[in-house]
Amino acid sequence: MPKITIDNLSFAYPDTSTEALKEIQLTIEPGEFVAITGATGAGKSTLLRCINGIIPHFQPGTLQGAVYLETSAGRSAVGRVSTPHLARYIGSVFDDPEGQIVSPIVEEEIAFALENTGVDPTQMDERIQHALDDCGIAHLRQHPTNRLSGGQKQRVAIAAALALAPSILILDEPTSELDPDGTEAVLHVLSELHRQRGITVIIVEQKINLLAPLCDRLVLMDQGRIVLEGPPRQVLRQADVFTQLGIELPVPARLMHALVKEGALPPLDSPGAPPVPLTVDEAYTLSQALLTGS
Amino acid sequence: MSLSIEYIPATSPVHKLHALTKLAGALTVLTLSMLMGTPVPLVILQLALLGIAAVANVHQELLGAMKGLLKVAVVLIVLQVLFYSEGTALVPLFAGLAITDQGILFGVTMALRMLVIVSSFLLFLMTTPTRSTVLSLVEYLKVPYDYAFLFITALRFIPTFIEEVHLIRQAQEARAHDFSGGAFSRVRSLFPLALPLVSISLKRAERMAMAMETRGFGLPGRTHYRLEAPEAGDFLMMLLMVLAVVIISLFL
Repeated sequence: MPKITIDNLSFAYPDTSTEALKEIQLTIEPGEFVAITGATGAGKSTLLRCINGIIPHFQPGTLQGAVYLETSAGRSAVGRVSTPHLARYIGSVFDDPEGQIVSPIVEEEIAFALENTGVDPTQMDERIQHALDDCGIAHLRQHPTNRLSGGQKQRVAIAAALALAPSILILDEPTSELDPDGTEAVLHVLSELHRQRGITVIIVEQKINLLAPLCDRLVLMDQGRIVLEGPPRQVLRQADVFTQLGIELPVPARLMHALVKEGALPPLDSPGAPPVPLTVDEAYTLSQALLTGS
Repeated sequence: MSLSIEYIPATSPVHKLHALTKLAGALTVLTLSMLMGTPVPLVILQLALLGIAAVANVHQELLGAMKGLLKVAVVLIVLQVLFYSEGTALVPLFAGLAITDQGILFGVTMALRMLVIVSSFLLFLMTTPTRSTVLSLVEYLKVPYDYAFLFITALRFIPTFIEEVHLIRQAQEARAHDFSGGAFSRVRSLFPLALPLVSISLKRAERMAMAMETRGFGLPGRTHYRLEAPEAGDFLMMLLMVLAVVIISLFL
């Protein structure tokens, strides 16, 4: 299980004066679920592309610092391993469900990565089934890919990335083009993969209200820098930073901040203050406790 | 003209044959139709193709396609009849041209030949998944995989492409762009479709290249999931085809 170390990483796209990433310093432990959020142009997608090797292999620009993968075998810079080789460690899923599916049939789509990396064809059936099961889409195996819904397509894309059994999964706004049902299905798959298979999940997403209960760490970016990072309950305490950056705070956290402002709850940093609720259920329990006075 | 060139999934003895066998079959029919210079054997050949289509349960589609092809056939016959000058003149026409008996015969033969050749390839395409065809081309005829992949992917993106055209068209119509009018203005009105379509497609192509790279595309030593090998039946069929060509070329 590799650990990812991002060391003093800066990147500028060609023909631009401002850097998309500025001196990023971040370590992601094996098996961690990290959600990265921020306004458009904050550098979230650029950061992901540095981790999965699209930068510098595919996207030209000025890169400083490095991203390292640390395995038991040693430490290697992502920039020095070619993207196809990285595929064995890092699976990538993109925002456009349509543009990342290359095959006409679902099972062929899952087989694509296996074929590319020269897996023995006799092992493929089992590995395809495994990847489909993990994403809860075993029933779609023989379906044509162009008749799937957006949520199904994204789960096929995740299964396709999982076929190579990578230990890291990187997703760039995988639910941005999905309806609420599709979004829920995709996020459910991710949390199961993280919980049961111990896969490292790094996801860029706007919907922090849905991700906060799932992730171990929330990273807030702005103008190429990491502004806040830490466990979601800790990050969501800083309501003023969210307001300043124009990012909407999840409703349960907003409720708590309002209650603190009203004086119904003690200040967040005082001892004995209750933790920030992440789900509606938690907010409900908190409100109920207030009402009953316990 | 409704020319269906889509694969029609079914389980028939024809579908079960290897893609290479069916390709060889289409080429055999092509060769035979070249050897046959009179209408009668060509009609027999066409009937045989219809028989095979019936076994494969795609005869409805083939008949539909043949109906469309008849129009082309009529044009072919008329052209041949008008400009073929050998043989006995039956009806004299203007400028020294005449309808001759041999002209009619030649025209009908040409039309039948066209019908037979197109039908045989349609039959091949309707009973063989594209993937099988492409894989056999790569594996047995040594076509480079990159080109074969290009072909499969192009086919995969046709429905996406059509959907996008509809979407852009509706978007432009919603902003009062007029797609109707005469032939010329209709062609001109398509330009506002082209730019967004090209720009979307280029963006999508870039995204897809990334998605492929991150799944190991381009690594050496590629393997193939579900590679079909020709079976005894396929070899038998191919042998029969060769025999048919040899015998018919000896007797005609």
